[in-house]
Order: sequence, then structure tokens, then C-alpha cells
Amino acid sequence: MAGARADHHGGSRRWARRPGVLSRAGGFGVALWAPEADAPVVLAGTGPAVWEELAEGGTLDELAARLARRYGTEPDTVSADLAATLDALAAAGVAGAGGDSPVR
Amino acid sequence: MGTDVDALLTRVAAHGLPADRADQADPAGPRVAGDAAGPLDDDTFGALLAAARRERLVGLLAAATAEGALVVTDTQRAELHRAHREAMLACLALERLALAVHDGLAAAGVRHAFLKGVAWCHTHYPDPAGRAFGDVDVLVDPDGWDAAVAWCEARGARRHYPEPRPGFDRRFGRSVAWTFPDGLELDLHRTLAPGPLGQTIRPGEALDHLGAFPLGDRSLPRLEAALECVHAALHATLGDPVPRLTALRDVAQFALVTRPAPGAVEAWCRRFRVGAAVRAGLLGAARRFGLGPAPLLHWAATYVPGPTEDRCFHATVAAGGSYARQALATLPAVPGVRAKVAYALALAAPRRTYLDGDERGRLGRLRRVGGVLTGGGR
Repeated sequence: MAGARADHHGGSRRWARRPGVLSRAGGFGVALWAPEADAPVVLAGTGPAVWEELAEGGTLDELAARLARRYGTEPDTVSADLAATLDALAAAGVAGAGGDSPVR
Repeated sequence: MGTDVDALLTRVAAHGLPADRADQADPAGPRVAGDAAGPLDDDTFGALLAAARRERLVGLLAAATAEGALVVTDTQRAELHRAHREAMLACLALERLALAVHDGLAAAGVRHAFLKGVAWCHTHYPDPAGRAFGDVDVLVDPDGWDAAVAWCEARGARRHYPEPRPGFDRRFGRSVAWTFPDGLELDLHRTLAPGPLGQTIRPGEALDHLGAFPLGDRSLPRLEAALECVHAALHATLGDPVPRLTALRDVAQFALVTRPAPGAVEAWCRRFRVGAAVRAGLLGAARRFGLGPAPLLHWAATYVPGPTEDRCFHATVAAGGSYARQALATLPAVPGVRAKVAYALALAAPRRTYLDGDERGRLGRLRRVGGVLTGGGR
């Protein structure tokens, strides 16, 4: 994951949802299950907002800027948490950086 | 508890339905699920949540609280969110099963269509999180029945009841329930109704009229909307001795939201001789939720079933939940003399493995059927 983290901060790779992810959203957050994953992941707190932004996708900096606008704060404030969330989403197989196209 | 939980649950089941009036272009907003100005007391909320879990209405209960139609405490809301998350994770697991079933049946060249929750939550409800389900239902072309069964067996699935005689399910059965090693359940349907009505429905014709629904980045087959509406009404009327609220909500959803053309629904009713049962399902949902006039409900109120439709419907209802009575009521509806004989023989003299199984009550119920068919039963 350390390498992946370095990539996030490189700022040039585009993050997007992976195709085929099954999802449900509610007051509990967002439940996601990737096609090849053995287990689902549930996002709560600011996680659902990250998932929503990943529908459009973007670099770490772009995502951080949009989330900062949403929460009325500075991009630097959200960047560290965002990087960790993206790591978790990548590990769960529901999002990735690089040539993946967003799910419909 | 100062509140009638059943009444509250009924109103939760109706939450989000459009206003009653069919001539309104826009819904008049969500129905109110609760009247209390303050939060429910903990006992009432606990009973309501337990009932909503049983009826698979947790999604609508969550929507009712999120939209302010029902007031709950923070603790109650947290408990509701946990229950909703649990229900939705179960649905995602079942959707993975549906994808695997689709791939397996498509690879084997078996025509099929997904039924009920897994298909309808993505097509007829505004948010799939509002319509939970507990198994995957799929209608299978009888010509591909054996391949579908083989697919289940190859994945270690266990059927809930063995087949009375080889070929019985493919020719006469309604559905066969399977449990996979991970605990997920699949219902393979040969037809869309129990008892005599199941014999008047021709699944091959139903599968000539397919729609589709999205799942992940895939598109899976379902029946066309008018036929889905027919199935929803049949299920609400005949699926359980006391109609489940989820089943009635499905019917209301078709009548007030999806709104298939009454003429298209009637065409299927005439074709499969199920009009009396469909009429009862639509009017039952209208009564339970206090639905006002809508084109499909008007059609149901004025529809006159043919004599065969009436006879098959009443025979199915009269047989109730009894396996033996349903089996006997089905016999006259089995088409053709040879098929009738095969059907009667299978029930009167099932193969040994059927009687040796460990499901309690199976031997007794078959003995009752066999006894009646051979003149020795009640």
C-alpha cells in the first residue's frame, strides 16, 4: 500500500469506480461488493461522499478539491483521509487508479 | 405499547406510494407512516422493527424515518440503520448469486427470467434499497429444467424437498427451492402460481416476452412489465395464506407507479386463465392500503373472469396451504389424460428416496395425497 499511497500523492493518476460493483445506499452509508471480491465493504461517515465523487472520477487533487468544497474546508485537510479511503476502496476492489472506466 | 404495530407496519408498507388519484400527473408526496408527533416508545419501535424485518420492509421503514414520516430517537435510528445495512448486504450477496445463475443458465442455453425482488427492486422501485428480498427467484424454461437443476447440484446446492418421481418437477412442479453451501437460497420456478393455476400458465410463452434490468454493469432478463404485474398479483393472492405486506406493496407499486396498460394485463390473464386471481390480488392491495382509483384498479373492479378462471382460482384458494389439497386440486387442471395419469401416479406412488428424506411431514402429506388418490385417505 505504501507504493499506492505514493501514487495518490503523485496527483496525476485518475481514480474511478471499477465496473460491475454492486451497491446499496442508505442512512447506514454505502455497501459495495466488487465482482471478484470475497466480501463487501461498507462506507460510513465521509466515505459515501467519496464514492459519489468517484462516479465522476478524478485525480487525488481533484477529488480532494471537490470534497473540500462539499464540506467547506481546505483540500489539504481532506487529502490524508481521502488517500486512506482510496486505499481501502482499492483493496476492496471497488475503485482503482489508472485506466479503469467508471461503472454506469 | 400505545400504538397498533400492525397498523403502523401497514402504513410503512405503503410509504412512498404516489397519491391515490390516478389523474394526477405528479405524486402528491409520500404517505405518512406514523401519526405521532414525538418518537415511538422503545417497545413499539422494537416490535415495529422486528415485524419490518420479518416482512422485509426495513428499507421502507428506513425511508419513512429519513423522510420524517416517522419520528425515532437517535438510538432507534442507529438500530434501524444496522438492520437496514444487514438487509442490504444480504441483497448484495443474493445479487452475486443471481449473476452466477444467469451466467450458468446462459452458458447452458437455458431461457430464464428473474422474478420478484431481485428484478423488481431495480426496475419498479425508485431506490433498490427500499425493496429487500430473501432469495433469488428465477423462471426457467421447462426445456432447460434439467440443466438448471444440474447447475445447482454441481455447486453443492441442496434442494429443500426431493422430487416425487423423475421428471415431475419439469412437467408439473411450481418451483424448487435450493440452499447453496454459503446459505444463499434460490427458487427455480417452472411456473408462476401454485396449484391448478400453475398448470394453466405456459412458461415457454412467458419467456417469449422478456424485459431486462441492470445489475452492476450487466443486463439480466426479467419478464415484461404487464406479466410481472400479473405475477405480483398472483403471488399476493396465492403465495401465503395471509398475504404478505411486501407482496401487496409490489402489487400497489405496479398499479400506481409502473402502470402497465390494463389491456396488456388482461391479455395475459385471458391467455393463462388467471384473471380471477389477478383481480383478487389487485383489489386486495387496494383495500389493504386504501388505494384510490387507478386505471389498473378500475380494470380489476370491472373485470369479469371466465368460468375456467373462476373455477381454477377458487380451487386453488380452497386448497389453501395444504400440500395434499393443492396436489389434488391440481389434477383436473393438468392438461391431457396421459399427463393426468402420470401426475396421479407420481403422487400416489412416489419413489422411495422421496419418502426416505428427512423433512418432517413429507411422508405424511404424501400419504394423505396417495390415500385419497387410491381411495384410502380422508
